[in-house]
Amino acid sequence: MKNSGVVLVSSNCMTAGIALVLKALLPSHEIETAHMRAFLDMSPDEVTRRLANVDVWVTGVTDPSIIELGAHSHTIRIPKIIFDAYHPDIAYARDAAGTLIKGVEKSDYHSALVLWCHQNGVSAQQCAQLFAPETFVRIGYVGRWAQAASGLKALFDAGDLAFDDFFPAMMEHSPFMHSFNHPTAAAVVRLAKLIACKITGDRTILSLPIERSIPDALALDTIWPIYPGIADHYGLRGSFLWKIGAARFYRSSAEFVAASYAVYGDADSAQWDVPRLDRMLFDQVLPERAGL
Amino acid sequence: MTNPYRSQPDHCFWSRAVVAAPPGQLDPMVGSPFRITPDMKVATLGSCFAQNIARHLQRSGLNYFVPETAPDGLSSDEAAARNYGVFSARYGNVYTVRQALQLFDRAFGALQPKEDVWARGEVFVDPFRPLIEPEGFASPQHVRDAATTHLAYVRRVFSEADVLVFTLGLTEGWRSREDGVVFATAPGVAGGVFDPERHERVNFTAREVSDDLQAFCDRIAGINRDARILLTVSPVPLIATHRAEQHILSATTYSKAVLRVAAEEIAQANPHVSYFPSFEIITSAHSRGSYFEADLRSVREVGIAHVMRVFSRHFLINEDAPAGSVPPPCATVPTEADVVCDEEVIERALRASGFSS
Repeated sequence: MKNSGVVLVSSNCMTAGIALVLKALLPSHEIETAHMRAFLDMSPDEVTRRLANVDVWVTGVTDPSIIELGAHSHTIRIPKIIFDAYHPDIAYARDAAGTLIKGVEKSDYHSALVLWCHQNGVSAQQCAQLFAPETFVRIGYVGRWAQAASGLKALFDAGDLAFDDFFPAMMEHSPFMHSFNHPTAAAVVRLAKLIACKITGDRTILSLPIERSIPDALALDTIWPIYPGIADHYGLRGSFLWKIGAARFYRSSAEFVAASYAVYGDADSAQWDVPRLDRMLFDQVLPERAGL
Repeated sequence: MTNPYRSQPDHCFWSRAVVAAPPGQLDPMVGSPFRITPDMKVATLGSCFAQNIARHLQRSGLNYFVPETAPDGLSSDEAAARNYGVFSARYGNVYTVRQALQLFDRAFGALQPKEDVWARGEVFVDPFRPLIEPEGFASPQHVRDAATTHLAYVRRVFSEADVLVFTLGLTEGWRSREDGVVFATAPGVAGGVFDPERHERVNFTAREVSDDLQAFCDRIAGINRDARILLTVSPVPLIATHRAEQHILSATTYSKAVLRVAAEEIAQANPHVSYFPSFEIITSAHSRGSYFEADLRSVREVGIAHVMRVFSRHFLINEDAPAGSVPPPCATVPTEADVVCDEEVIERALRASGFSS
């Protein structure tokens, strides 16, 4: 355990939040940041040079061949926080060339329901009406906490932080996600505290009340609603209020569907690849409800 | 030596059954004592929280038994204002077990209260349901006639219901020194005049409440042999205590503890009586107080929804999947490889936090 040195944080969108917490908790350390993705594009020599003066490498990189290059430093492998129990409807879409299709406000996020409706010629009005608790139950959007938790645990287990030090603490901050892959500040702070514990060996860090001093950087981006019917299931109040990007609001499913359809226009969306979408289940459940 | 806890099921352990339960998914009900089928008449009685159960029963397609219905020609708004359909009969909130017991006895002629009419300004009210008619009654005789009509419906509720859901609310009350009848409110609050010579405050003991509850259940079984009684305890705290020597929080804790003990004792002792843990769902540490409104007293809809989810799971047929069952497959499947991290989001977050990439 070192009391000073250079800490390099190279994670995903949590990088800034983690770095800020470490800066607050480890005043004798120098905190640096780097895109995780940058390491994937570097040659082994470049990685070695970048890590040469690093004492602690906090990284979301999972490729063992790259991790090995940082062996001289204290490497702390951290997980991505992916948890979709609150937001099972978020999906990405790619065209035949693999390029991401942009959605409302040039966001990468789409509603899987809206995508399916557009692909199947469902009107915007009918699509908006599908945003109902009964639909969510039928397509398995409700009650997937255990699966989401299990998936998140697997991500922790592949790294150096303990899931059990993270997840139970999140229960008092539920919902702890802005979208399925963007955690709230509470989650980022908890993760960063666990990292600081790893660096210093001091578990009293976990009880330091610094949450109010850390801005929620990811709240600057999209905050996907937790739909009524899903939220109820987790003891929360749901809504159909989308904040897309910094400050664009859609206040109902009708507004959001209309905006999505306007972006998709006449595109042949049936050709788009939506990796997260189990098309067979949608095809079983939705046609009748959509009036097809 | 064998550890006797070793073979206990998960619900016997706090870490597994409470800490590990996802938000909104705490289910403290173990098993299902019986199922409510659509042909069964379900009646409700009790404190204000019981109104939530009544509303859910009305919406869930069950046979919510309301023999005391609004007269023909009354609009739905007028009917609601005059408390038709709030409970199975127009008894209003029945907060204490003693009130329920005396309601039964009044309905079946075993109790004739000496003080059966209160004045409220120019009008008159029923001391046992003083807010049932917002405008009051024109004369004492009107009050007595309405009570006679009402009590006939109460007899039907107790005689014909297949399931009676009784929500216990309070241990504190006000009663007549003359004959011991317990009023719905303190004299002088919604009618009548408080007279210390004639009225007294009462806070029932655990033994008194248990005895009253046993007597009430016995009386129901005496006229309606197959009826099931489902007891709940209201999670709503007292709005005020009449005990000046007690803090409201301590008074609430006492009241709820006594009611919970009585419910447990009577449910354990009587095969036709069961307990449903709505109190636990709303007040447990698991919900971290999130089920209460800003007044820390009113229960939020999301809490009521949780209670009703558990209720449906354990008492209704095909209403919900059994506890612990696997939900239907989800139409969207997360994969780590699929997750996109928008570079702009990363940049923006770094800039906002004072870092460069």
